[in-house]
Amino acid sequence: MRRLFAYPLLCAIPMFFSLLCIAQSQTIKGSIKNGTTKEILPAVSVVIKGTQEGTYSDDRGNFIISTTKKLPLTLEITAIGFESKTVTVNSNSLVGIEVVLTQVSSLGQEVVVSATRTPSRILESPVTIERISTAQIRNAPAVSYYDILASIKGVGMVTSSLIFSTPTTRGFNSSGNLRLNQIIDGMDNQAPGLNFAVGAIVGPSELDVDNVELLPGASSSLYGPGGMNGTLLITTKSPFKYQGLSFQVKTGLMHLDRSQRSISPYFNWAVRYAQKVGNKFAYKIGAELIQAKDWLGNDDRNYSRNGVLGKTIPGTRSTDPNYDGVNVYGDETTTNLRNVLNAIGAQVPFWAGYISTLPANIPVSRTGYTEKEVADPNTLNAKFTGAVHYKITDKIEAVLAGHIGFGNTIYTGSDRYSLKDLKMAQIKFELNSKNWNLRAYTTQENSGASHNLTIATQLFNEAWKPSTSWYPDYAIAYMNAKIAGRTDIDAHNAARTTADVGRPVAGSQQFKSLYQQVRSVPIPQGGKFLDRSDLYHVEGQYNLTDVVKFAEVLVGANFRRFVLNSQGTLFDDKKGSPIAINEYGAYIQIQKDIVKDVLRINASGRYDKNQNFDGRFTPRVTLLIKPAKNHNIRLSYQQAYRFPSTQNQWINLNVGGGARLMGGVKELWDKYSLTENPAYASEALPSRFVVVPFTQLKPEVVTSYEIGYKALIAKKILVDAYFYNGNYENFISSRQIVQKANPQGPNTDLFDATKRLAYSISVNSPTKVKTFGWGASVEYLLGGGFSINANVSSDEIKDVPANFQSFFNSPKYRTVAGISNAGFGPKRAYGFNVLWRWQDSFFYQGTFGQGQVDAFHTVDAQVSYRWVPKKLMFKLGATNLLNQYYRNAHGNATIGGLYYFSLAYNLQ
Amino acid sequence: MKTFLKTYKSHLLIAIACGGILVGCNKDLPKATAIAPPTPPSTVSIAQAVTTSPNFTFLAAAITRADSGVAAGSRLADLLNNPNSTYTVFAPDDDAMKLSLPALGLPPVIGAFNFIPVAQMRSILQYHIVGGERLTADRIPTTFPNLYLQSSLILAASVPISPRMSMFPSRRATGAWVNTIPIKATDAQFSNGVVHTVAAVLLPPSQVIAQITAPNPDLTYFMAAIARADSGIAVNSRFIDAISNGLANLTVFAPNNAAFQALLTGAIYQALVGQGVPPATALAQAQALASTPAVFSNPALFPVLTAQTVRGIIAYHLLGVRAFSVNIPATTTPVNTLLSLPGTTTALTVAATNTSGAVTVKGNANATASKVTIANTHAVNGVIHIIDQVMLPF
Repeated sequence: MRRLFAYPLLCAIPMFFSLLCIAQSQTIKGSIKNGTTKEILPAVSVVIKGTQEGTYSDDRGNFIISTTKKLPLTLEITAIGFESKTVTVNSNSLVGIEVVLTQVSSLGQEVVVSATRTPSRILESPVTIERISTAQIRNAPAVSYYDILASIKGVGMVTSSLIFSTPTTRGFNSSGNLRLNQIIDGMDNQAPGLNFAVGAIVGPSELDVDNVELLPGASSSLYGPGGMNGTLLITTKSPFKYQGLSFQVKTGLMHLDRSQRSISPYFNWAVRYAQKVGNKFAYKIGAELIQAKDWLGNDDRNYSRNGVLGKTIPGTRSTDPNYDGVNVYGDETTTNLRNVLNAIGAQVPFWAGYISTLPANIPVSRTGYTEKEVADPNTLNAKFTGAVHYKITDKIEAVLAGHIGFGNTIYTGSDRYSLKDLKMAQIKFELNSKNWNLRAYTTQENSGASHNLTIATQLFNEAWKPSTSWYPDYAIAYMNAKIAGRTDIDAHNAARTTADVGRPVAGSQQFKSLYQQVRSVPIPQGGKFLDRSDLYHVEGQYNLTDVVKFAEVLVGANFRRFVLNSQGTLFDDKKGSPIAINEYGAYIQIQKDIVKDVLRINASGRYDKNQNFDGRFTPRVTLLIKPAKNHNIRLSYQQAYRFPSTQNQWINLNVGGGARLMGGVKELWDKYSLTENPAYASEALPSRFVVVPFTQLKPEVVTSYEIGYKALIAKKILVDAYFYNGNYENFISSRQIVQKANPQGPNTDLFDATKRLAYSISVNSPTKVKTFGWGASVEYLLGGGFSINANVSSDEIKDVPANFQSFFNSPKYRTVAGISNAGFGPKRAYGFNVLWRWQDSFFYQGTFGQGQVDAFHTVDAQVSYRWVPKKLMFKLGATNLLNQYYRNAHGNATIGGLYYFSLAYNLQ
Repeated sequence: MKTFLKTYKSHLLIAIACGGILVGCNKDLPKATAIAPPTPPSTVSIAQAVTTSPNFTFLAAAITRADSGVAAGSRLADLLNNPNSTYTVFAPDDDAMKLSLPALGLPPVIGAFNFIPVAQMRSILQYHIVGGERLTADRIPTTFPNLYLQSSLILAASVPISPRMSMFPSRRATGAWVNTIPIKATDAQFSNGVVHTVAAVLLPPSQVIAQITAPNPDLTYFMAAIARADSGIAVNSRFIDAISNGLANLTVFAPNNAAFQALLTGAIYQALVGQGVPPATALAQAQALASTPAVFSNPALFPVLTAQTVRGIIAYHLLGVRAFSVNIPATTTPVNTLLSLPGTTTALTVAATNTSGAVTVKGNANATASKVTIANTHAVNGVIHIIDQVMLPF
């Protein structure tokens, strides 16, 4: 990477000098102020009219432009939220220009890029798009900019833990949503081995976020495979535009009611520094540190595992011998005590008669530990970002940027996972011009000491006392207690007490050292998974506007390579020989005004090929109709798809309980001879023997239609509404199959767990499902800076066959309402924001478990004060102000109130 | 600020009102719910039933006797009153008590219990109680021979397993028993268990088989045969060890002395005749030799009575279950003995029949069945039936 950067730099240096030598330059200097508050305005664009020469005001509101253009000149001064202004410069007024800008509403005026990969007003986007600006981030009650997404219409959030929340749109959410792409400054943010995006953990610090754009729904026609349910694009602040030092110190309190833990602090410290050196070079560095004691997954309900169709059932540890708490780990280990008793009866004949009167099935689970007892309570997230920008010419800018994140957190996959010492870095080099760009980046992932809490705790129990001795001890104590006259459940509890004698107490030194030992050993002998997978990606785009005149034409192409490296602990790779997967794709977009200012058509298409799958073409056609000024109707048809994830392709993991999670590639089928020694569908046994043949995995596809309407009425009401439907095909799911351990054995071997091999393989489901939904939002400026906003959205699924797991995971209704003011009172120094969210109850399906998630309300609020002369901002805020705990997914953390105070300097 | 308040008062009021409504409107998060214990079929405990019933006045008195001097909480009355317990009680009613007290040499009156030592009284009552399960009649099997259960009477306290005095409920189309005692009424359900009324007191045995058979003057040949069978066998693997082991569970068909004399006389006579001794002499010699149990330890006869042969005969008279006469079916039924053909696990059988209480067993090689002359002598580790003919497998 370093070498790549050095080359254009070498070319650029002579150019830089030559420009200096030739030009007879003059320097224009000035400063910019807010007319209302008199505060200086940084990051305001100052451009010499008719040229691309320009600059931004710095953190003291000053700007300097050196130009060779002849006087007099006109400067165009523009900033979001202010009336644009032009200033004429002549030889008398070269320096000391004082510009005063008037604050106006920016409602509906924002410019978005991601909908068409070209800038357009948000009002005129041909597909639904949502945007979060720096101004919104500043005034939001959310504790992190990422959480603001939850208040956008149609966005569902699944919160695994304090810093691990996953957004989706239009259904199909999960912790680690594979159907939503997250792109940060052009880099796909997915962890190559874990498959999901980690934008909240490895990404820019809040101070460095310029804007967030969200494309809800199908959106892979421009951004590539994966965007089945949306694409989230995060753009960071250019060091040319936003300069100087900024910092933010946020300190909060959590667990105020002590229901999960004792009251604990929350720290979030962020700093950013950017500097422009001359007109051509700028750099920035930033860091953010979050530290807190996390929310806990504390659902102690009893869970009945029945393949994928589990459910919560009545029962506690002391009333159900086979209790398996949702967020209690280690109690997944279960056995039929009757088998143990029968073996004892064979040794102790005088018990055999008594044992023969007992039920044939007496399931008993081992004693588990709660999440609080096993999971590291310390959530820690450190993010570092840096970038150097160099303008090779006025038109070409080179950027070398990177970010690295470290985290300790918890997320929910097929089990709850402790992501411990997770490290992920992304480094990119790009060249940007007005009409083209070239970008190369890599993602390097290291799962550190991450481990599976369920497996680690099960193995912890085995390491302390193997089930081969725990169960006999239990059985003998159970018999003794029963014969002594105890009731059955009392006998079970007495037996558990006896079998658990000497069980390490959570938090004791014995517990810690044994747990540490177990979680440090890779799966399946321990709980740890090793993941050192990488992603390499190059892409380019060219806007042919200057070449093709009849329409706006855009073309682009990309190549990416996954390198899966788990040393055999997750994928079917070996130490030293990782698995490579190549993907490439290309796209074209044509945009034309059919009737100027009334009807615009945009058509795009994308072709992608993954080496393990057939190529795939996805089209998108949009129409934008403008019946009147500031009224826009949008229509779109689009397809999106995703290739099976790297895990769907190559996972080879023997999980507890004897089942092997297996990817769908032919190599793995061959490895286990699943064709010669055929595999049978588990669901058909024992009544029928259905051979499951190898089937080539296909990408999952959604075809979506959308109609939307967006309007700005009387410059103070912004309304937006949409209706969509989506048809999903080739759902990627898993299927349980079994194979005879002895190929020559009889078919009855398939019923005997000791004589068969079980696999959970990735397959395409033949079931097609339809989703549809709608959303509407309104934002109303009341005057005086007050604004109220409200939105409501709905998502539904239909044609779901009985017992089919769609993982739709979306409530039918969600609503948000809020009132805010970013500046009122004397000097407009005060601000506040109150936001109420509600979502309906829904049935959540995950690979970890499924269950009803209750409806909940939550209120976030903040009040702020800006000390204008010192550029300081004080904020007192709370998320989940009423401290009413809620869960937004089965098995996930229970979220309570977080009360914070922040002090920020030079928020731009 | 004032104008601002005036202008937006209504908005603020709405906002505050909305906030107020929201307080406390989320449902509490679902928590684990306890599984309620099964509703007992009655609210009356076994102890309460016994003390209030007019038919169990003797039993109530016996319990009081057994509990005298016992600390509260450990009393039988407390245990049988504990709602957090489950018992199956084979309860003798007043008639049963009156029937059984004379067997203990006591008059059939309540006051008689005062002559029974407290510890013994407690043991006797504990022998009527099975802990931990509600063994209703339908859970007692009808298969041969019976259900091998542990009563509440501890034989020897040890860790981790304390053996208890075994008891043997059984059920047939014609009725139900515990050991040999008929059950008069079944399935009286109470809050902490089930009560079956029995027709007599269950007296726990106090001796092992060997202690009963050894001093019996009519079983001297049997004991001598066991000694012969055990010769050359390691300690703990001998028959004498098995019938002395309190944890064993056996049925012994013990041929009486006459049965052995008859068999041995015939066998020796045959052997002597085979050696060319004249029949009259042979008969006299055979009768003389077989006239004492020392016949088994006479080295001259070892070639005839090999240890292996005697071992086989003894094993053929032992069952690995405890079959009381009531457990033996009316239709002739093959019953597994402890003898199996060398190198196999297939047990050789004897044919057992219970004809209206008269039990017979017939060996494979016997022309006629052996009659049980004294049935159901109960030992801690088995039951002894004395028979009038030695059974032969081949």
